[in-house]
Amino acid sequence: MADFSNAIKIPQDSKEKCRSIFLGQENSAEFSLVSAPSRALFGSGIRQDFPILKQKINGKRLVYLDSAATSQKPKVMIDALKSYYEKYNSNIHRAIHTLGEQATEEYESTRKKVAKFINAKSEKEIIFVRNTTEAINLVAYSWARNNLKAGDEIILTIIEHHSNIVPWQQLQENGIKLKFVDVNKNYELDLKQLENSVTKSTKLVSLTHVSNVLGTINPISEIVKIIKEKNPDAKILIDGAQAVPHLKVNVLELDCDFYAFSSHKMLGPTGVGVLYAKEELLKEMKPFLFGGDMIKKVGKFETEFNDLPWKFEAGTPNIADVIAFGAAIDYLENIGMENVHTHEIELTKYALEKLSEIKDIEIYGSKDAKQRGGVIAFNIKGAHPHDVAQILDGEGIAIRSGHACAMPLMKRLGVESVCRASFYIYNYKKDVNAMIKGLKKVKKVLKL
Amino acid sequence: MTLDIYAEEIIDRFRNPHNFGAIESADFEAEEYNPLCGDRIKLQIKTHDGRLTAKFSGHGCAISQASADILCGEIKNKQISEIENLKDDDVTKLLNIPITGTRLKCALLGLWALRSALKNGS
Repeated sequence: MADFSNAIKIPQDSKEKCRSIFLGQENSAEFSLVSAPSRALFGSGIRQDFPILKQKINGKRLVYLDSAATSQKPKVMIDALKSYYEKYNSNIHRAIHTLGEQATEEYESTRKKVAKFINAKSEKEIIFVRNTTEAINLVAYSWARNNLKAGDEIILTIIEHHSNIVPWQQLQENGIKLKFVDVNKNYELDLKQLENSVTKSTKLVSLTHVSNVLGTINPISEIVKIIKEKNPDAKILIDGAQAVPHLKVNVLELDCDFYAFSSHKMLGPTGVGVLYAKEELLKEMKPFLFGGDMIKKVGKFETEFNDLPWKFEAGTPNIADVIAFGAAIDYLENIGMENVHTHEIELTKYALEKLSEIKDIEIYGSKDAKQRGGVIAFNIKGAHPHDVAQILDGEGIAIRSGHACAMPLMKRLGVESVCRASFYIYNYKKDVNAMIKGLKKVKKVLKL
Repeated sequence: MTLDIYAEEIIDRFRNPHNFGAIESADFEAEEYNPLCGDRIKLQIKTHDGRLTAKFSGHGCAISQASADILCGEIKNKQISEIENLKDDDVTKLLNIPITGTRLKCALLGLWALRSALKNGS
């Protein structure tokens, strides 16, 4: 078994306490009341579980505000990875030996955890891939290329990440048309335009759950209803890369057909992504890649493919990282996704307030923290995002700068690039304060 | 350490470039674009009796803009034979600041424009 002895265990009553203790209130009375589970407290408490946060960058405390790119990793996840390699490393599914059985059990147990985490009907609906991008490509290759014909339409939105645009652009060579839904002045999706875009020819609507630039949380349930009412046959794919790490996602309730996300943005290792799809769709779909684990029986000229979900997992999978991903899910489950979301709303609200006080700053996205994830994109007049990021780095602060893999959205916003700060469970007010101080330094250095 | 990249000279050149502008009927010109950050530099060169003047326009980070400005200064009064083989290292030496891998493209955008311009002709 993976060694989870370091995993945080939070009794039910202290989970309740967690809800009311946010943002690094180290000295609050409540903090001292909660002794053992105090490590589970957001910000200051939780930071102790993340070894990387203990180091100094350029002589300064590391202030990591780039979790939308990839999250940092808790020790329990790193330990699970190490434990697999040190104690039961072996290939899975066909090994008749102790190590192989243990590895298979752990690998498949992560699948069950993922299914439960996003409330899928069955673990057969959970396909492990490398990342969100590959999950979307799987749908583009296995489903879209076999089911769409010239004249069919795919609807996307202007706020999509490149990974949810480029795979669909490739289908244009087969005569498939792309349509884009715009945002309104509050940076929310124009639902009226979306409704009007859906026609009998619409075969797929593929959109993000949470924007990786604007932070906007799209009302997916409502959107699914709008689409299905106009065209019940249209399929819906949700890019959940920025949602699953931060919100409680319930795919059954959302009623989408496909849902894609990545482990590395939710405390897990790189190299693991998930495609959820309704079982009846997966049954009909042809495999994406061929060979290895996706096979049941092979003759010289023909092959019988494996059952779901393995039909879509060719070759030896990323065993170690999938197992460690399970430890990351356990960690998040212990904290509770509602608590994660509440913490991020609080922090985003605080950051929006503080950032707004800076002169000549433009913040993109809704000003209402409740309408958005913990992602804030901004620009300071006269300061190029690369210069901002570089000067902040000198202060130990990591933010993202550039087009954030959303060039069509940049064009829509009328900018070349943005600065982006993003938060997660280990961030606290102190990090926001450091960034604000850093931004003042940016202005000083650039003589703005 | 990191702040050395924003040396006084770089910031001054960024804020008040000496060679920003356009040349009418330039003999050589080219524009280079870095899609990663959106930086854009157009470099124009004119010859007078075999001696050069250069100007740049565009937008971008402090490093790309200051570097283009310094490069234009370097080209001034030179002959083509003196600048046509400028190396990456020559430009980073002119800048005299520590350039890390991720910022090298910023620092060299002007040089790329110079190379394209000489290749294009007018």
